[in-house]
Amino acid sequence: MRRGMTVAAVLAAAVVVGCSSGATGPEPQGAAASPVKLTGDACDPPRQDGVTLTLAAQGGAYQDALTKAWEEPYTALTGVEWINDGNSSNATVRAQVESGQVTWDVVDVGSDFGLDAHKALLEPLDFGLIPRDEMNPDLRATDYRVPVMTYGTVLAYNTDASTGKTPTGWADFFDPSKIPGKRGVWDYATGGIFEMALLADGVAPADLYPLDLDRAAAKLDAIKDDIVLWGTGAESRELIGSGEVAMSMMWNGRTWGAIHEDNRPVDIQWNQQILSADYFVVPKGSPNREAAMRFIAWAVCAANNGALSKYIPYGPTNVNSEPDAAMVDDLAVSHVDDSTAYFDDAYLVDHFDEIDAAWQDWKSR
Amino acid sequence: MSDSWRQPRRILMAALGFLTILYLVAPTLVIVPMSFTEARILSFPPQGFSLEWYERMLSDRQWSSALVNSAQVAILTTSLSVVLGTLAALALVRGRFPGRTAVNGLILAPLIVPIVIIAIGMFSLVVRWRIGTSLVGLVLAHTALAVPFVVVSVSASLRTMDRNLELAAANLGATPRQTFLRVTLPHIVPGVIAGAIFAFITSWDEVVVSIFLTSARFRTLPVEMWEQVRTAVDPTVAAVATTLLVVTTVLLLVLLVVRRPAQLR
Amino acid sequence: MRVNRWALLVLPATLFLLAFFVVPLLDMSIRSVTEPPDAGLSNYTRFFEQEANLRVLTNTFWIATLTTLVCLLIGFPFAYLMTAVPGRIAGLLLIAVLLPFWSSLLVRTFAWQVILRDTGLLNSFLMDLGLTREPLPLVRTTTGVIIGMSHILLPFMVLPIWAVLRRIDPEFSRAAANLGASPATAFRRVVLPLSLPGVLAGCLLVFVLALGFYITPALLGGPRDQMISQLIVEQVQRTLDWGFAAAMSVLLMAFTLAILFVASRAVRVQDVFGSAGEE
Repeated sequence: MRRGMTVAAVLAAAVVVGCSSGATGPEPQGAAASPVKLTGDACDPPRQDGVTLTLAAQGGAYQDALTKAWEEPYTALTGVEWINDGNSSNATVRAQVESGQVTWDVVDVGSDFGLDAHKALLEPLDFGLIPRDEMNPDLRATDYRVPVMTYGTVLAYNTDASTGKTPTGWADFFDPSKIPGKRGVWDYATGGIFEMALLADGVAPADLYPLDLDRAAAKLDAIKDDIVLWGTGAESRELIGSGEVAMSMMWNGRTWGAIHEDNRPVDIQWNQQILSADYFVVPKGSPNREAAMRFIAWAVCAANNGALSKYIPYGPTNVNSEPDAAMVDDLAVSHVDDSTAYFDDAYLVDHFDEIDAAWQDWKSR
Repeated sequence: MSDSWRQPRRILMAALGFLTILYLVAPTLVIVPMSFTEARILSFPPQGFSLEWYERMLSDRQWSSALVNSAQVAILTTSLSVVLGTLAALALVRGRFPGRTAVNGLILAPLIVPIVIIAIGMFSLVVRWRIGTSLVGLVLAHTALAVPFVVVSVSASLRTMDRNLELAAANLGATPRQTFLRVTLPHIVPGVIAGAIFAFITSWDEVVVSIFLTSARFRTLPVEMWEQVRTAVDPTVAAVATTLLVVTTVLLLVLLVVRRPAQLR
Repeated sequence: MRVNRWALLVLPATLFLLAFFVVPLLDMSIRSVTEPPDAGLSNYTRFFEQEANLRVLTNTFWIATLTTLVCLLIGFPFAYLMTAVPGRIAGLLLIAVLLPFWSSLLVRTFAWQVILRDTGLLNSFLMDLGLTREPLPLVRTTTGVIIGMSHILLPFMVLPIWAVLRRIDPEFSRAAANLGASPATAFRRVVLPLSLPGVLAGCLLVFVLALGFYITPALLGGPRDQMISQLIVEQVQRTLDWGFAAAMSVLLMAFTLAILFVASRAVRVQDVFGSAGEE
């Protein structure tokens, strides 16, 4: 009996040692490939039948809008087929690149990704093709990312659940006595929750950074028992629409969906919104990186960039693009004033671990 | 024991029993009707009657491909685990060899190891061996989870067999192989079928390992459901849930018919 | 011991499980001390140093304990009932236990989420009846998690207890009655002690399985109800800290094995899990 077990143990150990000798660190796909340099007209891509691109974004109504505004016309134009993944996450990009198995071609990311700090993970974009000079200069394109749409993180409130009282800003969000009820919050450390707490505590938008995490956490404590965390835009739309939360931090496009598509009694308080943009990046080592960049160039082209706003109130980033006329009043950029705040992308990236740790710790207290 | 019962206690016990049964079947009773609602949101009691969500499940590419994938994975898992498990059961019950206890422990081990650990272990493996998120990785992982059920089922069947039948066959001149094929094997068929059904159900409903071993390109039904449940938007989820339940229930009822549990006789 | 031909038949399954079950586990164990390089035991010390992790660990044990108690309180009477009713009804009760047992855990947890949430079935029912004015907080609370987990683990308590109870010779109770014991006394001093092996087996099974739960606390619990499986998943999916995740996995395995080892003094562990694999 003992001998059998010894043999088994030795076999297992041999297999494990054999497998573990593979690198545990980043596994680059052969020699570093040279950056993409494409020729042609951004707005007139060639036929690429037989190519399938995977677009990772945030799912739900936004992904549907991307499909209708950009993917389907692009398929008709070039023959490129699409696979959609609604779970865009910076961590997944890193995991794919480090393991050498990249399945995402175009990834929609937020303010805290795509900076030079991430250059090991991303393909440098071909700005010979992509019209960088037509991009809104305020939106911080880098060598690795290009802004594709503008949106606002706003205070959405359910008019029934907040018993008819209108919140005037984040101060009301963090005050359980004025408007009682649950609060929806995005479960993402750099999504804006600390910024909102500081704004509620009277900090001016220009003075938000460096973030005073302790001060923000103290403000959060006031609504600790009322917080309902959501992980996806669709979840936030369901929570506010059903009245399960009286107020929620939300992306304005999803709130629009709750109001106009679900016909729920929801409204937006634009005061103190955080205006921001989403960006397209291409993970390093993507098997379809050229096709991915051709698509990105086409999508931010003046003629096409505004098409997204036809389906969801997210504004174009190309200064020569026109948003859909019917949607102009619902765009975040139409409600910009002195109270509007902005993310400091570089700060968020440099201090991500610290901010994330503070959030995780606060959650579990 | 029944002769020492008195009426109040009997009523109390019956009431408790009823409440417990309600607790046990409440989720099923709620989800199934909800899948037929006409309204766009999950509501109970359901408003109206509509098969819209079932149609959506079959026509929506994400759901229908997940359904096909789930079936593929489950069928392959069942086939592989039935072969591995039946052979192992025969060896464990009839065989004598060093390390038999250890092997028995190894085979039952997947039942107690926390599923998340198995999940990330397999995930790490498929990344290393570049199997990627696909059919292969899933079938391998699900088979590891299903084999214990097959082994237990077939072993139970083997143990209830009267060894004298084999002796009688030998006495009548049958070779060991003939004995096996014509006496032993038919006897364990119910056990094998039961094991196959448990293996199928294990794979069909498996979520946690599948979350790690699938991707947007290749999803199974439970994983698709896990994605949608957190957004909980429309009743298609309830239709999918009901489908999962119906398949499992039908298989179990088949099992109850084919092989009446010995305990009930 | 001689090796006979039957032994060869076990090789395929054994090799398969070694490759696709044992190797991943060993791999994780090695990773826990080699990632980041030269980690040594640093992942483990880090786990115990961070207060948030200890809260999660304590919470895991706490929820597992509560779940075991709830299952015992509901499961023992039900198992007893199964032995006290006529065979056909007992058969129906058994089906009532087995059908959910084999139904998808995700489906059942999701159903509980729908039932328990603020705008869900239970709260609408209570408010319509006028019994409550505000929705009871049930989802995103420990209560919700316990309700869901107990529902799923109840069969694991009922089946072992029932298996033992039904083997108790009814003659014992009758003998006790003949000797002048009331039904209550007979139960307390005859049935209860004889049922202990089943009770212990059930409690063990439920507790050990509860420790490793992921789906149910994820869907029904709040951030403070996080269990260790969720922490492990987060490290893998979010922060990509494989070494830390592996260390926590090893710890969870160690706790599980330790509990089983201690319990093996009282029950035959193999039987317990064998019976779980059967109907």
